[in-house]
Amino acid sequence: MNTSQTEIDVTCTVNGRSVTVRTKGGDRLIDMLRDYLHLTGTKEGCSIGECGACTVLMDGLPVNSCMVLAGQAQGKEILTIEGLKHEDGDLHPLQQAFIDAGAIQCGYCTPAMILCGYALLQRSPRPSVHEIKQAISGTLCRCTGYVQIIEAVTLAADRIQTKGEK
Amino acid sequence: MKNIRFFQPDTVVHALEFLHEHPKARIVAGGTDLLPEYREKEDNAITGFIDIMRIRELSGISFDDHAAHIGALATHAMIAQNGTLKERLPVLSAACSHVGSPQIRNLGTIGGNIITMSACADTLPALLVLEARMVMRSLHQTRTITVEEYIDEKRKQLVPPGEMLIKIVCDLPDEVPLSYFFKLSRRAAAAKARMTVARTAYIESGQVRNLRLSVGAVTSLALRYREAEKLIEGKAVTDQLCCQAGERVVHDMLAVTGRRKSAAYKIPVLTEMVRRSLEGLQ
Amino acid sequence: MKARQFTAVSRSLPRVDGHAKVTGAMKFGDDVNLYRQLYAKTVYTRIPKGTVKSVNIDKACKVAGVAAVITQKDVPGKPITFGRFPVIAGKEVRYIGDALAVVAAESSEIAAYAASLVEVEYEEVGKPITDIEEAASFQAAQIHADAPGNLIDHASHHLEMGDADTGLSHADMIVERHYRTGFVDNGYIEPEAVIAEVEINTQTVVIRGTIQNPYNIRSAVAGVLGYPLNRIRVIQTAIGGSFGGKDESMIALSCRASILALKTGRPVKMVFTREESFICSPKRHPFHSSYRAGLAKDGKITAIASTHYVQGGPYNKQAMFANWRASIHAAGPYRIPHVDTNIHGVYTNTIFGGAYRGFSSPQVVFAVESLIDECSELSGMNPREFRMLNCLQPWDTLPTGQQLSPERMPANLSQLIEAVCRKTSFDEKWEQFRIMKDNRAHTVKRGIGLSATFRGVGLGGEGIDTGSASVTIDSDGYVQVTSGFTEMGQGLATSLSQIAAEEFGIDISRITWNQNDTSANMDNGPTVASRGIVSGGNAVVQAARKLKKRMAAVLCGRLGCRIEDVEFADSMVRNNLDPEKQINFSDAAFICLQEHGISLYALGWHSPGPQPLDHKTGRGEAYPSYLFGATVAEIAVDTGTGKITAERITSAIELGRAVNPQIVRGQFIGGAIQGLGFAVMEEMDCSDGYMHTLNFNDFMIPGAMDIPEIDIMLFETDEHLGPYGAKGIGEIGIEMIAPAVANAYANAVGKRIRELPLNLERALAVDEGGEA
Repeated sequence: MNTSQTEIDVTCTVNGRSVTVRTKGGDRLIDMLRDYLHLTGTKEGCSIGECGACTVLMDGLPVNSCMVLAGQAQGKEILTIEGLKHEDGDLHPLQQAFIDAGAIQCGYCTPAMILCGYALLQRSPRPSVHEIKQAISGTLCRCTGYVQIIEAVTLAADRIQTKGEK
Repeated sequence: MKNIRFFQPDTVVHALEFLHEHPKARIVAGGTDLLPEYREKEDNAITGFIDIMRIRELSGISFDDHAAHIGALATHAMIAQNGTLKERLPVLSAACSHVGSPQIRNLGTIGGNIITMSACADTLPALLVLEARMVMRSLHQTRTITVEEYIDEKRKQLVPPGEMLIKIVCDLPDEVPLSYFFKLSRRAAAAKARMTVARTAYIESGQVRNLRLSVGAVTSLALRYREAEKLIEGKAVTDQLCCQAGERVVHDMLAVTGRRKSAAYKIPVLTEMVRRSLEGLQ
Repeated sequence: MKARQFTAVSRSLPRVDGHAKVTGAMKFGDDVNLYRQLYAKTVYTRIPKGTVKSVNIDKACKVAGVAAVITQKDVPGKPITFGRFPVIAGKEVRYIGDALAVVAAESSEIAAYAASLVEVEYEEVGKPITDIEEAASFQAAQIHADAPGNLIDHASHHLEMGDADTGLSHADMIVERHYRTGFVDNGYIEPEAVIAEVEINTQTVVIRGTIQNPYNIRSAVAGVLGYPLNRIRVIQTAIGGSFGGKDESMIALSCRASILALKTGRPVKMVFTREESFICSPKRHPFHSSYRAGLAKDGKITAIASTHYVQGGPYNKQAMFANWRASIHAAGPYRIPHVDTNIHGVYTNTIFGGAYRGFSSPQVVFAVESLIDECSELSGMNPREFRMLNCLQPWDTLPTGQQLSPERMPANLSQLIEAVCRKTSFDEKWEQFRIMKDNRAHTVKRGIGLSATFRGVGLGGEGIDTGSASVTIDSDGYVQVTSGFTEMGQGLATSLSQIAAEEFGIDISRITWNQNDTSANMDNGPTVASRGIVSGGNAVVQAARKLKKRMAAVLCGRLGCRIEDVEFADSMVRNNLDPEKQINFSDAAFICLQEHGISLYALGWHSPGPQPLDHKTGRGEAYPSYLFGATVAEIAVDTGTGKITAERITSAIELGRAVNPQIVRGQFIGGAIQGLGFAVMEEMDCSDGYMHTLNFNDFMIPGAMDIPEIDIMLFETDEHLGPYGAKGIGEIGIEMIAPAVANAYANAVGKRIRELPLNLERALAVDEGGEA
């Protein structure tokens, strides 16, 4: 894109599907996901990258979607919470573990927490408690006190490793 | 209401040309400082964004025999996870691993941390003790200055307009210095620094050589503390020397800031943190 | 009560809303959008105190895409709602969150831009009053002309037992101490959101949003619009945390959006930014507490007299209730012959106090449990021994005059204190750390601290405590439960569904929980005071039992037994005496509805009735029951930086019965970590009337790396009050942490901090700054 525009067509992959979205120059990735693609599982909590509720994976890495301009997502691969469950509707083991371990209360940080856990398990299939804490340290939760979230990630890792769940 | 322009150049020259034509446009890299700032201002002066994340010349980390070349767009996560940097420039690696949160480290770039230059930027004390150099380019020239010189320009508001940071160059000495980095904050992670100390040094036959000491977040811009360094240079470290160095740093810090309300806390803690940064050299 | 086998309660069943929450499908306030909706933004005052000379909206009105701009004169009914709060302020502004106009436009960007064009002329009138002492002093200017002494309406309370002066005169030592706490935000991660529309056919205003207490919102909007209650309908969306907070701020948003919806005839959406949320939502009330305790030589407390001043902000809806709760709990769970408690709320030109988990207990428990520790030091006893000597025992009398009959105290507090101390080797560590604190070789000191508490269940004397639930069995045997209480993350939807499943003997998958809707259920007051499980649960039990009775009456003939021998279990309705005779639950429902025309809808209504109180002495049936708890905190203090790290928290709680142990554990841990934030890091600065703590970068709440090990011992009992003995667990977790941490700090360092939070600066305990 070598000319500047006030409206930009952003083409990227969102949850495995290629999409093209006409956005405005000042739109952020979170605006594109929520307002244009209606993927409202990505939440806005502080708008300044402090709470982590808007976390999505961009090219596999957790990022605050409130700090990325929509245009910067051009050509990127974005994964939101809506893209995590399987085609047949089965939950990803992390999602199931969050339910089973009681890791959810209000649920507002849950999508971000699960995506942080997902990115962690991609690079560290059997994470220590310390690694899990670090991986979720950029996502604030006011309800749970984190303990059951940490337990859920451990439970999911265990199920994936020992039972081969996917 | 105005329309924000968005420009995604693929070369530095294109970016500089656009910046020249649109002086109120802002360069955006990781966006972790700029986007919150953009949002806060009601009648925003920003008319456009120049996304430089696609410019190849600005990305990547490479090494030659004597130096590490860290592209302005290297993220904190890339630097913190780079094995060679971890081994050869541990103080920088540690600083980058303490920036913001994991999500911010995946977005935020070392270039952004320097250029934004907030008081509590975590990488600055590390870059100061490494005597890192910045390669800056404008439409007319390319120049290399040290981070310390750049901070000085910034303080004196002498930074020329229309310039872009291309890369950071850090010398790789044959022997890796003993390195120390500590960030104090109100929360265990993902919190801005209350105080940051970076230190490198060598010990030769029991004596300290080439000590470099820098503190961030206590002055409006991070500083090297050369008088304190001189106090210890060439000597064997003792408890007393560590404390004296701490006092010297406090003295020099106060000369910059004056005695504010927060000094009641900063004085004893800075003294102690400097002491701790040096006690390992005994 | 004979031991009973439960099938659905007392089990950690998965949350009924879990699937929607892990898939991102759950619709929170900001996720709801309506056709042709407008977006509205509020214009706030730029000064915290002054007179408004003019508000000029002309420029804003002319912006393309602006649909309406309203000021106070556009409020159709009363412009003042809860506790003197102006929905839109008129001539006077009293705090930095006062609204002066509201703009509705086609997009939120246009609304924000137009809002920035509204021109206001102010005249500053004196300096804002921002401090409790200043507000309460004789010279202070009055924030409201009709509130002398800046005392908040109905927020002064008194409780006395015996005669404190006599008790103090009998003491061998009098301990006088002052404690302070500050403003703390609820810190929910989801900012407030609302969308209001006018339902044309019925001319009803329908409000959807992140609303903790729908009936409060309904009353407030009705007053502001001048409508009867039945033409306001409030439907709750999912709420991303509330803890008491999404009430006053939601009133403001709901009223403004409703006025604009009526004016424009279009749905109007309003979403707070985090900054707006921090300025406009209620905070935990700051307390300044002054205590005098009488101590006898043998370590017994002879009297506790205390006076508390509570900072309310300019408008206050909660101090009257919070202060009453504080007055009951201010002397702690101890047997004290003479108690005198006085508490007042004061108006200030700052952000305002309201409900935040624990209500007023976190403040008074911090104060009184610090005081008790100081008394133990002065008595030369360790904190456990001192508490064991003085704590309430069965058959003791509370300052309210209530006797602690065993049903009011199903587990001894001393048992809980012993349990946490044994588990943590409290005595040994306390002694060891006390000696270690003087060892200068270690800059990091360790400390261990104890706290104990009791907590009145439900609203008690704060007001009438009621609970409603409607239960419908459809003809296929599936069940709908609608409660007047709200789900906001605490797990009530799941717990009440479990209770319904238990009553009918069916699987929880047959229950559907309906989100709260004021037009579908009776007003049963707010979802507060940890009362959802007791009052909400009892209402579900009652409704279910009415239905079972009706079904049994129809089916007993077929089953060949008396009504009382009909049993509901294993998805069957059966003859208890001859279990072979049974009908499955679905067929049973079909028979009752389709063959006999019996109503399978019932309303359960739980009301313990008014609590008798003597308002002169404050004594009487303050609460129908109490929870008890004890906590030990173990911490490390870096004496070089003032950094406190919590290493382990161990708690013992008597809670009646855990309907869902996993949810109970989550509620406790969540509360405890909020308590830890209150203890060491959470603070807000509004000290000059302007708000300086605007987002989560300045208002630090604990993150995952701050979490200590947490060990909870639940003491389950057959309590008399709630369903199957259950009592609410929502709040007791939060209130014991700050005092336990402060007491641990004193153990580690030998100095005491009497003001929260124990932030870096205070905990450094520099001689000129810290209190010795």
